[in-house]
Amino acid sequence: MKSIIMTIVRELKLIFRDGITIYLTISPAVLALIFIFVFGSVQESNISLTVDKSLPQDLVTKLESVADIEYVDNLERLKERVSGVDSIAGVTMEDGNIRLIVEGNEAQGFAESRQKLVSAALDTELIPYTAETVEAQASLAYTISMACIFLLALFIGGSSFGLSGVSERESGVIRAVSVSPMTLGGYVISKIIPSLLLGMIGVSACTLIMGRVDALPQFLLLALCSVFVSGMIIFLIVAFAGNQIAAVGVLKIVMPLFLMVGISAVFIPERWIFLYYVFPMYWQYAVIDTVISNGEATFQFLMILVTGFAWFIPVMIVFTKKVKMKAWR
Amino acid sequence: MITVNSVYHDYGGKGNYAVSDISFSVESGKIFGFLGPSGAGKSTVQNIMTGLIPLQRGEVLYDGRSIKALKTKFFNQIGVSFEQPNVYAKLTGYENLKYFAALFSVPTHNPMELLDRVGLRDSAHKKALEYSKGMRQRLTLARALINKPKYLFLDEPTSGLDPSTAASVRELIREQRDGGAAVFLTTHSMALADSLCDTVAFLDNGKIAAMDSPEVLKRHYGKRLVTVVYNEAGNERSESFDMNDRALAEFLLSVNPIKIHSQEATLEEIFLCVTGRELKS
Repeated sequence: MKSIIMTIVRELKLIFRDGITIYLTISPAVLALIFIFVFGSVQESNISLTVDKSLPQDLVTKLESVADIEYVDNLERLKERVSGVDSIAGVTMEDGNIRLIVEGNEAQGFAESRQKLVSAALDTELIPYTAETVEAQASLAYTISMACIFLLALFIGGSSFGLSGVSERESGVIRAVSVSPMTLGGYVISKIIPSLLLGMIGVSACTLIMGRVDALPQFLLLALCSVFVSGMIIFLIVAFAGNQIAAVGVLKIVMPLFLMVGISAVFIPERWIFLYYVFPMYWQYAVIDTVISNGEATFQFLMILVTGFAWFIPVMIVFTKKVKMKAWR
Repeated sequence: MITVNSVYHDYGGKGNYAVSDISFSVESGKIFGFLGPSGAGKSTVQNIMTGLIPLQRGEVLYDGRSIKALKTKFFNQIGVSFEQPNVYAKLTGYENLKYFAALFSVPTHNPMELLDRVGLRDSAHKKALEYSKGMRQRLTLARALINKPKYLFLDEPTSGLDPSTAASVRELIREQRDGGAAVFLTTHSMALADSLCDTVAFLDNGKIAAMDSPEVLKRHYGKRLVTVVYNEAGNERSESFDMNDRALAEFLLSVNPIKIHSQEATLEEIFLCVTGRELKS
């Protein structure tokens, strides 16, 4: 255990002494910032409400004291606004009663907090709220962009340690590790754990930047379930690249493959989707898509683990054949 | 004790053996020199002995136990210094040793003390990429010693070192031998082998061409002649005699000798004699 911990510490030291790796590590967060600019106010720092003309002005004034108010012409427009990509609730008047409208796929806490806020502002009993729609309204561009950023964060976690492995192979220091009591299993674990950490940090940064704190546990779970995918990335790179130049070449092939396999499923007819079921990257995309829509993704999480493991084993066989670091252990 | 019996290795699996019928033993407290030119198969044998290459045919025994039966813990007992100084370039010398010390589950040397022994104390906190080749070579040697190994494998340990550092490295190797380690030294430097080894083996084309102690090899392959350099009327002259020739004693009494040389063969000459080719790196 001590050797694994020390190896993890050593891996992290090497990673953060490498300028390129630091740049790679922060790149998903930079992309997330760009994403914010492209998609506008996805992340709201203030609470926003939208109201239509049915609501009396005196009530609107009261609401203005607790939230940013957006005005729309009628109930239909209000419902459209509520089902937009950001988290916003609508307040309207129906048959003399105040009614709160929230998107059906918003978290339960979101609806309740808006219900309490509006009731307090208007000085009334808790007003009823209505969930208007259950369909995710996030645009395809939004979902794909978000998926790209999260998949990139996960990929970089693995590829950074893949590059570190290539450096060990190129310098021959992997042979020195081989003639120590470090086992192949210990070596593999000490590469995968820090890559998971890096992936979790990257995913957390992106989640926070994009204002989806509510989905942070699920995105962290996504990073954890991608353990074998990270392992695949690391050991594919080390197996097929004997030096840093070759590693860049391998990255050019592996990176688009890992990012595009899952996302390309969006453009495939439904009847052919089953072909993607064997790819963990497809299930990673499925998780991101489901989490964005606030859906339940237990099955998809499991499938990432199962399919990831199924691919990890042959990758390790190739790795041990290509890099003969443990002949008889 | 390390015992190697009839080891063969074929990289391609087509019957072209890189090494064949290699047999020798390295006793504890002894230095065994494995000599030969590049491509002779020295590294192949060392890699088989350290488990980096699987044993195909023959046997390698450590204190009577087959390498195939040894577990991970066995690696606590070996130290390997590679010819290419393979260290983590972005870690400091101290960090390199500290990391490798943590891989072993046996008492290890203090990294700083070891760095001091190989003359790297002042550079301990510099990254290894700032080291010269000789400094990296010393760091590699220090790493091989970190776990106080019972079996020490050294591949060209003085390559690229200045004479003074090379002398201190030789002294360090002798200390390991005196401490009871079995030292397997791979080199093409006959001078190094001559000064350190208790036994040497010449490897040529994957086979052992000759093996014995340097003294015995020199006696066996050297000429039993003595050359006397003497002064005659202000001029230096020389005369050679068989060692057992009574005339030698009479000659020494009759002239004014300046120098007397035994015509001992060097290991290089012996290698040339047994393999028919020169030893080149």
